[in-house]
Amino acid sequence: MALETTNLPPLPPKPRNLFPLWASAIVGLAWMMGVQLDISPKTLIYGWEDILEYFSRYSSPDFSQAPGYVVLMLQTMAMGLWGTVLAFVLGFFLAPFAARNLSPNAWTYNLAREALNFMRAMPDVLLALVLISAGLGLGPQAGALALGIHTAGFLGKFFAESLERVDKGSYEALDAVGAGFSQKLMYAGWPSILREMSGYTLYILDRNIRTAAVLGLVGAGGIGIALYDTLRMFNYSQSAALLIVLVITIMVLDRMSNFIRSKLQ
Amino acid sequence: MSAIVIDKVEKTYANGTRAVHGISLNIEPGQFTVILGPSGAGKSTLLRMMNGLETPSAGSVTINGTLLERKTLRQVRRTVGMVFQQFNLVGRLNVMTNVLTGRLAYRSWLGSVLHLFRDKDLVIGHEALARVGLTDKAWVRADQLSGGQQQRVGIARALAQKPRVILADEPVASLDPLASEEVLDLLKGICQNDGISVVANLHQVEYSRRYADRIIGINAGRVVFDGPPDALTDEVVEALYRRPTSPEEKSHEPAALALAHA
Amino acid sequence: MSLLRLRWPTPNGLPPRLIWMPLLIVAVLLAISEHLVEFSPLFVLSKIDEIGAFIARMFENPPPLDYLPQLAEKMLETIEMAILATLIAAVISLPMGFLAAHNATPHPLVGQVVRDLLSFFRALPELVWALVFVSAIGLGPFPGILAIAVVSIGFMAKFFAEAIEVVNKGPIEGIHATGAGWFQVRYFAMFPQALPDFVGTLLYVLDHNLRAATVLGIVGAGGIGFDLINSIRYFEFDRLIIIVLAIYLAVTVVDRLSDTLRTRIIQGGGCKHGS
Repeated sequence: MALETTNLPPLPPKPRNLFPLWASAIVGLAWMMGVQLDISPKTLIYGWEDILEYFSRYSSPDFSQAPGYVVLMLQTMAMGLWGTVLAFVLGFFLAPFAARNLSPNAWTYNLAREALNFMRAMPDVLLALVLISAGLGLGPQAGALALGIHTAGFLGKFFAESLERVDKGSYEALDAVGAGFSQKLMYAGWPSILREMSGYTLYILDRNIRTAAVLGLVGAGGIGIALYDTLRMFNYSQSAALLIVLVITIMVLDRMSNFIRSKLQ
Repeated sequence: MSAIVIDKVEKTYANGTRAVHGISLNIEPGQFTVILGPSGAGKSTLLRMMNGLETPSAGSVTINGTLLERKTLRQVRRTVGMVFQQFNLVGRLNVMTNVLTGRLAYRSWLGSVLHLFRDKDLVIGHEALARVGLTDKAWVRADQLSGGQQQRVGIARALAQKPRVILADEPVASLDPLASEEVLDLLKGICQNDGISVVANLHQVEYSRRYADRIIGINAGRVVFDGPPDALTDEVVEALYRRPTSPEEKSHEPAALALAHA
Repeated sequence: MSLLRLRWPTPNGLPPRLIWMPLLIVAVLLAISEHLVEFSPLFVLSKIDEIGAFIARMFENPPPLDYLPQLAEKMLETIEMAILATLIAAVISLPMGFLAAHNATPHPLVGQVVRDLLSFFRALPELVWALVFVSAIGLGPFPGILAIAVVSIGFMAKFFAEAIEVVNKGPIEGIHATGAGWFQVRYFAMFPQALPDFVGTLLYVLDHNLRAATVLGIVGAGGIGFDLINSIRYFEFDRLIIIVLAIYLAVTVVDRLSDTLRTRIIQGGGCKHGS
């Protein structure tokens, strides 16, 4: 016995679906931005032969300088590692103050949060530039420091958020035995988020090594400086070799850190 | 013609577990058939083979005269509605869209990407929702409904397929007693009034006696009882839920598991 | 047993290996890489007053008001670059994510190839891609947008694929059982479930892209970066400080905005999807 449509209880009024409105607003806005920035996909469509020709210049990598590149790559990786360790230490000490449920008072909470925000907001390339011209001079030291400051902002924020998510009961239990700020951290806070912390730190290490490769562009050592020089001198075969070394290293590191992170879970 | 013909069907999983040992059954149209048995008896595997969610290792399944195989899969599934223990709705879509997914097998991929359905589909969806008494929830997101309501949306989705058979895999196992009876009453009504065959897996003896036209008792992958509810005596039930004795089955049919649901 | 002996609450009284092993490995790595980085905390500390003086010099002169219009224009360009690149990347990442996800890819081989391609996109930072694109198609914001978009595709498609891989299997089965086709299962069962994750990632990426866009000008790929490097190169510290403040302001605003939106989406009800 199939029911007749006319006898059916009516559907409630359909809520207005705003999706098409949003979508067309976004497309319109993007269009306006494209026009304002003078972007024409025509450059890509009409110039694709030129672009292909350009990329074909990278097709014969010259590995004669490879040992030098490997040293530069090692320097880049070392820069990333030092930056990460610095970031970890800074984040480790700042995060507890930036966690709402642990921070001793509203003052330290806001101060720590603002400090972390500022560190995150300053791009590492900019920090490296400033540190170099401010007196640290050219070389990887400024790069490592810049990476450390910038990513401490991230690690500090992530750690603080993890500390906030720890089960309230764990902290209360320690409050009940009369534990202080640092004791609560060492016996309830950090042990509960050890796994997450290692995951975040590995992720930042990965990111820092990647970014360290470009800090050379502004004079902070590592493989970036060689890449910049060879590209500026239109030495495409050497650039290609450098890019290959860079890509392979980073892809290997990516696999490794993925592997370790999957082990952590 | 039987609605479903199951012929010497077997199922052995990749890990060596033998879930179904050569079962043959004919399921008649318009009947409410309950497959009864303890957890892990192979009920679910058997039911899921009836619309190709599992492929038999041996034997064949024929639905309304069409042999279930790779190339007929979509065509067969179109006429076989399925209701799940965990409802399996897409929580972020609204109720009406969930019901209309029952029409997908009739629509092209391009139209469905644009969320375009025919007026006819909307009428079918409306009817199905009215049948389960949820028209007022049509534009609510599915994950905001209670369990019983979600299961009724699941039934509406199956109805929207205009099926000839509805398979229900433990439809009330996740529901409280009140919602369970609502859902089973609904399925029974659909079976009686719309002439749709219903095959339901249950593990509750009481519900089986109350709702079934025919009960098929399964234990350790074999049919151990087949008959009307009156024939399901207490002795039969005890035998049905008794732990298997042969050592082979014992290994994958822990007695505790079987008894837990008796 | 001495009462004064200190021990860890472990069976052998020593710290657990999971703690000291990573620390030891990191210490050894730091020791052997020390000469590569030439890092010396003492040297850094000895330069503290120089850095202080450098920062003080930024505040010596009153801010150059005549530069403000140009600053506004360049900041707008930077923000637009980030938004456009993110949008382009989002549109391309959706199909790429499906191709890369183990449970949605049309063929395992396709999945592997797409995942490797995405990994390649991610491997090079925006600045390197920008260098390459600038030498390929010339100066301006367009190569910058392409550079950001390429890296963003690498990340967004990867995260989207991961979100698809962990969606609840029930609804997929539910849609399968209705006889829906290959495409319909992906569109009706997987996509709505993975969408909130995708929008969350999109907001993260937008945040990151704005930071990236601020420095691309260093290699001539548009945005505020060009003025930034020039003000350092020509010691125009009064300009430098307002550029830095403008970047801080823009990044912080976007950061807060995307944080709020993300929490709203995660708590549900943020993003509507349906007919």
